[in-house]
Amino acid sequence: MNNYLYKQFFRNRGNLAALLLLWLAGTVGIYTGKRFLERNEDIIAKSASYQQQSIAKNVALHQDNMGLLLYYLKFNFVNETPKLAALNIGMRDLNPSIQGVTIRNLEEQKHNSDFYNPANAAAGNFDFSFVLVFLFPLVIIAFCYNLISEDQEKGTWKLLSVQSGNLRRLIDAKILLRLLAISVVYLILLLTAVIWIGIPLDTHLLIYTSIGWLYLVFWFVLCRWIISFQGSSAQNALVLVVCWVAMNFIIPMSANLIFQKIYPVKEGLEAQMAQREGYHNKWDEAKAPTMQQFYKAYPQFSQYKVGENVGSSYVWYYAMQHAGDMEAAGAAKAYDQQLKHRNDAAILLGYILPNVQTQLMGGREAGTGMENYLAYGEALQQFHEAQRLFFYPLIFSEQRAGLVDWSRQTVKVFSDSRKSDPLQLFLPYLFFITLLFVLSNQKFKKLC
Amino acid sequence: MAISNLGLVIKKTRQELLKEKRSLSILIAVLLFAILSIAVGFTRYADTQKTVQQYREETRKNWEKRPDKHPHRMAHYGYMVFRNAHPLQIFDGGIDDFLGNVIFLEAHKQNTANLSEAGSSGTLVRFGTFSSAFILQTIVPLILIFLGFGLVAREREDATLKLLHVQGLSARTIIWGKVLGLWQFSLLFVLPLIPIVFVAALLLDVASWSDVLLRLVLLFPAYMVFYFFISTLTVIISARSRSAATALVGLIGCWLFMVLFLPKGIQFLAQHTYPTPSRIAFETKVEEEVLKVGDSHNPDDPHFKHLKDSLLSHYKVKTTQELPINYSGVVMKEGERISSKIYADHLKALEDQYHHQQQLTTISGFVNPVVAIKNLSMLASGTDYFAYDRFKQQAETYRYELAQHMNELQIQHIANVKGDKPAVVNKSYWKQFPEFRYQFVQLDESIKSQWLPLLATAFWLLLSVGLIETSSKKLKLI
Repeated sequence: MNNYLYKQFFRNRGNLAALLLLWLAGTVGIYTGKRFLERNEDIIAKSASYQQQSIAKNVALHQDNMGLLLYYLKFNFVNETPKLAALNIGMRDLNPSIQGVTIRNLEEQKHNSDFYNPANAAAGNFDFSFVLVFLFPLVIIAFCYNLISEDQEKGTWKLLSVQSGNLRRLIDAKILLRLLAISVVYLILLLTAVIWIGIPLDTHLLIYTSIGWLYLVFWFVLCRWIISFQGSSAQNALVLVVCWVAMNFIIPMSANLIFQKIYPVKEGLEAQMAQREGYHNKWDEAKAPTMQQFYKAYPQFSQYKVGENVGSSYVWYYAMQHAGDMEAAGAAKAYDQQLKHRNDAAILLGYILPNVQTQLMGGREAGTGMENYLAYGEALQQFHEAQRLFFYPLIFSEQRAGLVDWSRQTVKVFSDSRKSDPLQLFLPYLFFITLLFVLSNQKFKKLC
Repeated sequence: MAISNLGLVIKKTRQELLKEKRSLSILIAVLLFAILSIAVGFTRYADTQKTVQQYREETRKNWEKRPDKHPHRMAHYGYMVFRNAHPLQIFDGGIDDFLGNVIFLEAHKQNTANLSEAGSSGTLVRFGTFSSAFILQTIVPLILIFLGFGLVAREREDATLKLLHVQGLSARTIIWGKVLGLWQFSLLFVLPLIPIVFVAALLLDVASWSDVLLRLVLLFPAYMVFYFFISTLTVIISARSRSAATALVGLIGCWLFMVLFLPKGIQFLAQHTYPTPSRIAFETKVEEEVLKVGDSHNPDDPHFKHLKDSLLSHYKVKTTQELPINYSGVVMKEGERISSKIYADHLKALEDQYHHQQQLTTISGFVNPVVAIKNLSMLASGTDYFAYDRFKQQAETYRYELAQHMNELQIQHIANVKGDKPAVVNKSYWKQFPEFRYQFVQLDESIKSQWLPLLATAFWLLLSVGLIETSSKKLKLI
């Protein structure tokens, strides 16, 4: 009988066309990711030589003015982009994967975004995750919505129920066959991506693949439940499309609007104001309090005294820059906290919406989500601090630029650990799959 | 075609749609969602407005209370400008979420607008943000498809189509009647929102009532045209399909194509046809060229040496110390002019690429009616790329004026030789420099530079009429 079901499925040209279309969309998605990754890698590769050129030029220009030299020099810090990011671009098109900072006030520089066309960003990327989250379910719906109703509408349902001993098994065999077909396309696409992009075969890929597949299973079980009500084909199609629209558009979009309202991020603007006032006001104030604050943070530099009547001093200048960061620290931390709140709320939503879960957790595995952005922000701060600590003594003791080993000032890289809790990853899928499976079984009992 | 017959078909179609309990509850749900989104958008806008206003006043207060200072320090102290969205953002957010909200303006440096709502929202923003415009552009067409897919096909299945024809209704009357009936029903999704959006936008008290009214006068007829096309598409596919079920599948396919595939595909094409440089590459290039042309901080630079010589001969003195004006101020002013020009040239090249990308999207409005209405809706709501571009331009103009004004103060008032005059200028000068006030881009200005979306809307109206006329000739009654 299974052989017959197989023939029935593949003889339908519509089914083959749908699978082909899915494959095509997936391939385009992978290509989008590949292009994104290549551009990113190109930017990062070039940044090393840019940095070298810039250092060479500025060192030549400001040989004997270390303080002024460090005013200009920018040091690049890379947020490593895992190859998996090609499949889930996430926020990486908005947030730069490399940032150049001077040792001046960090708050002023850290939100400098890369250039992007906001209209393109608003339209979103056609990456593999988009195909997985939005398009795969549509084909699953098209495959399953009339599995019972088609026979009922053609009048062959009675015949089937007489001939087949177990209708539930027949329906399940049909669903399984379709799940198999979709899974094959899914795995072919992932295999293509792995070979084409060179994604390493690690746990991140394994997790990404598993949650994606569980998401597909979820849709099959959802379809199984909806068709078990034995509505008409049009009704099933309507209900399933409404589910799809509600899950992919209405609920996450409304949630986004509400999260933005509940967790406003005015602290971002506040930090900008605070760093500016914190730094610039010091020019008009007595030098002693600024220096006291600086010595308190860095006791090792307390030997570099600055007299009140000194016209200009780089110790004082960098102490003022440091004060900008100090005074914005509270607001900056509050801003990060709000981002975390927004992300936590989204994760909660993911527990009840498998599509959101797939997008968010896929992003986490690929290092393109909010967790990565925050971790990189923290690492950037540490990098900035390390650069300061390296150059402060050189500036304060007025070293000549030629004496510094500039070849050591290469582009540094941050690699995110991307840790996930397996329970948090898989439980939501397993819960919904089991629930819908049990519910549809209840309904199927009344089938014959 | 007899007018009374047409009226009958329209009336019957409309009333049958209204009579169904399902469609009425959908209508109410949609309107409720739209109104709720306007309400949330309203409070969010008011909150943001309050915050921005507060920071703007603080910025100004801080600026004015600066003590006596060297003007160049003041130029580096700079100014923070905050972006205001047009109040119609509560109806159509456009690309607002993806725009930076604050720019720090200072001498020598053109900073980007930073801190966008999307950047602070995490991956969820990839699903988009809810707005009435989204419902009207995406969800309502789907509803019209679901309610209208059987309008002709089902009548044919029930053999009532033949009956109508026998009773003297021409195919043309039937098709026109069905389309107009569905279209009249679709207006129920739009019309109630007009007064709500109007009142809500006025309550925000940011734009004048004439401006809001003018925008709405453009906005809502555009949606009506869009629904006319959707109604036409629904009825025609219904008329040409063998069964109601195939009509439904075909229509859902069209919807997916218009809403998902085409917009993303065009965006992909645009990005790859017109690539843009990264920020790092851009800034390195600018830095390189600035160093090449002339560095105002380098006293031996040839360009500035020439400037020095011409100044010396103009004032008939031998050294810069003898000049009656502040020499380093002059140097700085020239430096600002040069570096701004270089940056502006590079920025123009970048913006040109963006412009090309935009152009491709705009043109795709002739292939995809959803893009056409999206573009026009954003344009009318003042949340499109053009409006953002104007904001950035106004900010850059202000930055340049600020830097050059400070340089001028330095030239006039700061001692050229130490001890001549004081090294600072009086704080009263700060107050004299005007505040940054963002002027919303005017609707007529927007339209003048982007008339293609308007043309696209007209195109879809004409195409609809053409489609109805040709389809009525081919209508199969059985």
